[in-house]
Amino acid sequence: MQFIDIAVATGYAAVCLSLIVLMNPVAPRETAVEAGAQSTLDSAISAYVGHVGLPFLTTSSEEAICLSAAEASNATLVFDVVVEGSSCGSAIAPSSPLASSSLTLDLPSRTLVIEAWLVRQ
Amino acid sequence: MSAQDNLASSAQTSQIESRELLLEQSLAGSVSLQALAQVQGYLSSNPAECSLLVQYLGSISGSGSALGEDSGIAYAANATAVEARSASTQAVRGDNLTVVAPFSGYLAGALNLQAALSVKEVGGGGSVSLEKREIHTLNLPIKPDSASSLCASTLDSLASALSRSPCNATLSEEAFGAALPGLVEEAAAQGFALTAGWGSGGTACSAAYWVTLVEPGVAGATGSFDWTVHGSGVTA
Repeated sequence: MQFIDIAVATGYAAVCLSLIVLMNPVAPRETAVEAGAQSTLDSAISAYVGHVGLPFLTTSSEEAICLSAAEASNATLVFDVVVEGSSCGSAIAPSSPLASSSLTLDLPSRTLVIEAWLVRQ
Repeated sequence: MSAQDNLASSAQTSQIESRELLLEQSLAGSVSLQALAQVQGYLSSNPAECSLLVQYLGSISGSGSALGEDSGIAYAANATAVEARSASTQAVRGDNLTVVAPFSGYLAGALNLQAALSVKEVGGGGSVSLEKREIHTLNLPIKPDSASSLCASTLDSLASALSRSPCNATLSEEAFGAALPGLVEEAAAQGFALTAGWGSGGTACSAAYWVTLVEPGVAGATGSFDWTVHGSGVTA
């Protein structure tokens, strides 16, 4: 009898947990927050590219590009640019970012990747 | 679907849209830059003839394209640029392809190009798409108008100097030598390096003369380059 009680209780608990998981209100909210953070990062990358311009990214030295990435970064937003596989040494990816995004640019003389992270406060 | 599911769904759609906008900006810029790079490559490796400058500029074209996928968004973009024969009112006002500034928009006296640009993106499993077909004005800051007038005036001056004593090489050399410094100075004032020479025209008492104008260090879209124009003539 005790065994049946335990089995019924376990089954009931499993059903409840499944319902909680299925109806979890946090999951869609988190998805929305993540999507919002991602959009923020994409807008930030767009603003950076628009500010420096593609000719600058095509012709400038790695040092100049890294300096521009550092200037565009702040306490909550970190930029790094990888030029022909070589990343700016000064930019350190946060260990647990809120979101990250990157954009690959195939420019006439080089390929570069702009990476951005939203830092968790 | 609950309100929270709707929120998540619209946030994801918004995320795809913002990614598509970012891609549209970078693709439009990079394919336009590729087209400019092709034109620049042609200019730097193909000297122009003074007498054929209009045809030379009219034959110039450049293109760029990109095809791929990014974050679940399939994209295709291309740009084709040809010489803009005249400045449209819209082009003079400015061009909104600012991501390739200062090579976007009309620049008086420079090589202006009309670029047909198209970008197509499809994301979210086909639910979020973006399509653009636009005409933009781009420029490369060579000075074809200056080169043309400088070439014509230089050839006129050389013809005049060499025609004064048509059958006397010594006097012709003196006249050529006397005319040249002023021509070099005038060209330098307009940003060109001028070299010129002369020799026998092949028939009795005629002289052949030639001039090379180099516009050095033109700040192009993919770095600086030299643009060269040649001209020549023969005295009667």
